[in-house]
Amino acid sequence: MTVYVAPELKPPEPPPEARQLGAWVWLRKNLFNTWYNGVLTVVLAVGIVWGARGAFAFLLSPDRLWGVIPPNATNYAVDVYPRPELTRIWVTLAVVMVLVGLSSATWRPTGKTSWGTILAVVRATGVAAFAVGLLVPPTFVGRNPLLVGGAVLVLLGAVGIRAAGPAAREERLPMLGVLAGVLVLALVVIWLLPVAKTTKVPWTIEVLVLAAAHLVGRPLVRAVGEKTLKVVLSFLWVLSLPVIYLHLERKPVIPWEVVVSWLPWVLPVLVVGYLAILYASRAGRERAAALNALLVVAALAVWFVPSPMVVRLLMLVLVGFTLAAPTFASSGNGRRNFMVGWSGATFFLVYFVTLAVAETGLETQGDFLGGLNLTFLLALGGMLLSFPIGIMMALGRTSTMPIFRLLSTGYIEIVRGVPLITVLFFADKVVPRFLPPGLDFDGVVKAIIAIALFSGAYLAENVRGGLQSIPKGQYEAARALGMTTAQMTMLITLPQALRAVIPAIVGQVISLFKDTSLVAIIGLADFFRVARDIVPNQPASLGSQIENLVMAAVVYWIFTFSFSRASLRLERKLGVGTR
Amino acid sequence: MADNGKRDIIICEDVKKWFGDFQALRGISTRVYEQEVVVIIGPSGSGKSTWIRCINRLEVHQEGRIIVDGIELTSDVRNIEQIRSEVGMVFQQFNLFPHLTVMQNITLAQTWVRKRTKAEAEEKAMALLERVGIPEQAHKFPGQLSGGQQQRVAIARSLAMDPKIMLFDEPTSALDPEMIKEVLDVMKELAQSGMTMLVVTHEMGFAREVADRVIFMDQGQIVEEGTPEHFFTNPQHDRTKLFLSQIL
Ligand SMILES: Nc1ncnc2c1ncn2[C@@H]1O[C@H](COP(=O)(O)OP(=O)(O)OP(=O)(O)O)[C@@H](O)[C@H]1O
Ligand SMILES: [Mg+2]
Repeated sequence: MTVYVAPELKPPEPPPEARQLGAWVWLRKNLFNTWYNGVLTVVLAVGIVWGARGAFAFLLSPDRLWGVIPPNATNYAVDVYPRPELTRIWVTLAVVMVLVGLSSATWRPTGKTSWGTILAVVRATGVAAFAVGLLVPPTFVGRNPLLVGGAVLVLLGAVGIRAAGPAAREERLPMLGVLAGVLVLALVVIWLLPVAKTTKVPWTIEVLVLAAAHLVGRPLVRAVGEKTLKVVLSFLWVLSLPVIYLHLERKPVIPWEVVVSWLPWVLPVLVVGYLAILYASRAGRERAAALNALLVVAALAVWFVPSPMVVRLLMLVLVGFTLAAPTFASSGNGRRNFMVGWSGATFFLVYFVTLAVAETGLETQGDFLGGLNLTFLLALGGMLLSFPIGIMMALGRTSTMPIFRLLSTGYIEIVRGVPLITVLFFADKVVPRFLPPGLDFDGVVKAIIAIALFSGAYLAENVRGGLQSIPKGQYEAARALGMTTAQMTMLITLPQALRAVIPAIVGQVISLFKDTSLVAIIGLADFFRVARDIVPNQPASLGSQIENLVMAAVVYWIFTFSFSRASLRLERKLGVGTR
Repeated sequence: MADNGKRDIIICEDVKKWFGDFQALRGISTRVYEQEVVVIIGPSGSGKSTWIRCINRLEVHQEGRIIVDGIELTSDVRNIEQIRSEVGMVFQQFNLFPHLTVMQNITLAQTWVRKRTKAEAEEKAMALLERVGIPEQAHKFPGQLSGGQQQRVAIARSLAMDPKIMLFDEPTSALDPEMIKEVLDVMKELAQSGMTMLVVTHEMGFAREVADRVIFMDQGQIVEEGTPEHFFTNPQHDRTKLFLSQIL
């Protein structure tokens, strides 16, 4: 037996350069490695070519009325929204842009990409354009531009990758910068080419607002602190919804005498609220519980005496906050934040109700918001509201208290057992019968609530799955440190559960986005309905339903595809599946 | 009062516990005095974990009494959280919070349960990370640390609550041999600093060197207890002899 002793331990070496496979080798290895794979490849290729030729022949036939789409851009965006009021839409969009800009500065997406990736995308686009050029009918005018443009892009990409060499693979371009570049490119396109002729200026302003908000956001993060800003922005996102909605649907003529008549109710609630929260956060648990019982009774009582709706709602908010006060407001710092939160909630509630009782001074009455704007409002609203519903139902279903378990299980199983159309119809036709006469919501509000209730039930099941995937040890560690159930849920288990189910949540958001097209059932004119009924029935574009539906499909696809790409990045950033 | 004049900090009187029909604890009676280090040994399934988990009420005993630092463990919620923040626990699987950094793991309960400010909590956390020897890891995530480092973070996380008692449930069983020592060293230092400790472990070297008393459990009961001296030189019960002969 010979003895081996290593002379000295070897230092690590860099990994070998990835070997570039030649195109033929790649084809042989992946598509023609066995005779039946070869046959399959040929058959599929013939099928794809045949299908694509047919599709292009159909889409590019001289009979197609693609010309009807550009003149209808405004209809697609807003439907019958009064044209003189369109600035409102742009202002609302600017509000969203401010929030997006501030959020991107606060959460700072840290993703990086490389020149190689971008050039590969350019090359792939070129290949696709060239292939399309080969497949379109020879009579199509765009054929040569496609072939030439495609070839140029392929060359550009390939040459760029070769020229950059190994440096092309370094991931050092910030994703945010790349996105900014794309936006600038889009602006250049709309100023140079004849697209978006009438909306050039507003679009440019929107992009500038976005950029300004992002740039203001950076020093703001440093001044205010990241954590505070995150909390504030989360609140603002939720609050943006009623603000946007009211701004779009109302040109308020505020009935000041009504608002003033609330004061004798609202002021006492504010004083009582302040004292109650202070007391609940300082006194022991038992006394706080007694106070809460009193407040719950009072909050119920105001529903039975003639009192303004705003006071009833304010009391509900107050009960929520005093219930949470012993847990979250018992230290000095926490108490201050808690009071700020409560004041904010109160302020926005009063603001919202004030606008809601205001007369609309807009010319058209009722639900006039439509088109892509309505689709987005429904999706955003449904999403923002379905999260709290889903999370509460998931917690209820996993709770140890049988009554909560029963209620949330019942809710989830009932809602999941019926189609969305039924829920929409129910919200539109049945719920108003149970409301006091005269109190009916706009169709948009009812649709948002129905969508949120529906989506919330599915979300609840996803979140529950996440909660169940958390090891028992996490609960035990939190308990062993003396955390209360509420703290354990908010700080330990829920954040982990949500991270674990991001892919499922994104799937849910995507289907929610597509499901908004069902609101036609209650008479709303969302993007899909505009494409299906409204534009094709106009005298100038009669018979163009196919064209419009194809366009709608492409638009839906672009948005859902972007969601799923964005979520992939988010997953990678949060390290789902690793760690 | 114990014989040496120190105060009893844990009192167990005939503690019984069932899982369904299966009786995991068949009447445990013992007292632990302040600053005592008790090592609990015994075969798998003998109820060691169940017993120490009853002491901070991660498990609920059904009969008998457990009194921790003068407070009896009952179903009254207020007592339980008070006890839990006085009793630290270190688990075999570390159970660090994977979505938080090491620093956040140690400061979270300090700010939410002990109501310290962030600055106080971070200062305390840094001091404890120094004490367990890994101050440079403060801003990593648990998944980026070795097992031994993770367990030391878990110890620091418990100590940050200023507990009067520390419970350890096989703290080194999930570790590679090279890392066991770094965790045991921290525990030895802790024992010398006067912490009251209940340690379930198979590390006989640790028991011999640090323990004031060794308890041998089997079938949900205490079979024999005494000084490490007694155990390793002169065990009495046949069951104890058999067990020791298997592991030594
Ligand atoms: N949650 C539970 N449900 C049912 N039986 C349990 C449960 N937890 C523990 N047991 C049983 O109680 C007995 C004692 O378990 P315990 O975990 O306390 O043993 P242990 O002495 O810590 O063993 P080990 O050395 O394997 O950790 C075992 O037979 C176990 O199967
Ligand atoms: Mg055990």
